[in-house]
Amino acid sequence: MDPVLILESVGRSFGGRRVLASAFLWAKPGRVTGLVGRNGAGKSTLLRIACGLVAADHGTVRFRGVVYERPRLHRLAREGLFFLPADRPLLSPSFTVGAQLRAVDRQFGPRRFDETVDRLALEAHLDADPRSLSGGEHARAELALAMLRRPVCLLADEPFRGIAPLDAERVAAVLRALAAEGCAVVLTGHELGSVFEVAEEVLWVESGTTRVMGSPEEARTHWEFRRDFLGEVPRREPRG
Amino acid sequence: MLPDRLFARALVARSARLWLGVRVMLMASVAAARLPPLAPGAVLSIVAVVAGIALGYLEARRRNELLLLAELGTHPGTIALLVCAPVLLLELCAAGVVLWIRS
Repeated sequence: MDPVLILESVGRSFGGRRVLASAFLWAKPGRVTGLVGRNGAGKSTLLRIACGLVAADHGTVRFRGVVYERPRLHRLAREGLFFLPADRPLLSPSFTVGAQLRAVDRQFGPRRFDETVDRLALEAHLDADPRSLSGGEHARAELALAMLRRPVCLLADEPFRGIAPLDAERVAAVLRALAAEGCAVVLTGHELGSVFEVAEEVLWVESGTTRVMGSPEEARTHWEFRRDFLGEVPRREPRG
Repeated sequence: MLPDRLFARALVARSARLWLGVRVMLMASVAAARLPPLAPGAVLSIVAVVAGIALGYLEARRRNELLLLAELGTHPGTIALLVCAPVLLLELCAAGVVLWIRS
């Protein structure tokens, strides 16, 4: 199936430091793509460029067949893109968690509030102020927002960061369920166990570009990936 | 795309409250300076409007609402309208009341 989101030849520098030189990214309907790389490799920057929060120095963003020279989050969001940021909360402290989830459910029906709350075990937190939630609860509540939005493409920046194994399992299950409904999911993270468990395809962000590693199993056995990312030294390098 | 009524009401109500706060402070300052409290105030009106709008926008940003609404497809212009409209309307009403009292 054709990707709904394609980034091509994307570059971005910050203060003279080139983070991305010529990177690409794609998101395919019904598939979960894992974007991995070392700290500062440019994974989050790539997602931020994809959703219009950061402008690329060069390159194009194509979403649902439309090329955006200057992508803006609200325009892409209207077309069905949803971005889960890692570094700032999405929920407003002005309202309870339940009120915000209900508002999104009203706006983007058909309704599935109860199912979402049940799936992410949020019943006990519906009347809570988002500031009172723990990291795992916050991650689940934000994922519930995404689920109620029914996105065509979900970009999740480090959805497993700092959360307990049980929460990680719930998050993984919802990401898989969204993909099963046809959503194109891209996620980043350093928790390789969780990322590889849910991803069907792995992209490696390295030296300012992106490399296709294939399935998680293929990535695990790729000698350069093992040497340069996992920090394992293969017993022998491939010949030639 | 208009935001859900929950967010729209909050933006409008907060802007109105902030404008009221700014207006009360300005009038208190005018009174403290021993100027007539109902002095014609084009400058005061502009200060009240600019401060009310700026505070409303900054508060929405501080509360993550700008990002959340963008994620839900709301145009920044719509958010600006929801923040600006109550401030402008209230300031116009206040100016009308002041003119009526002075007449």
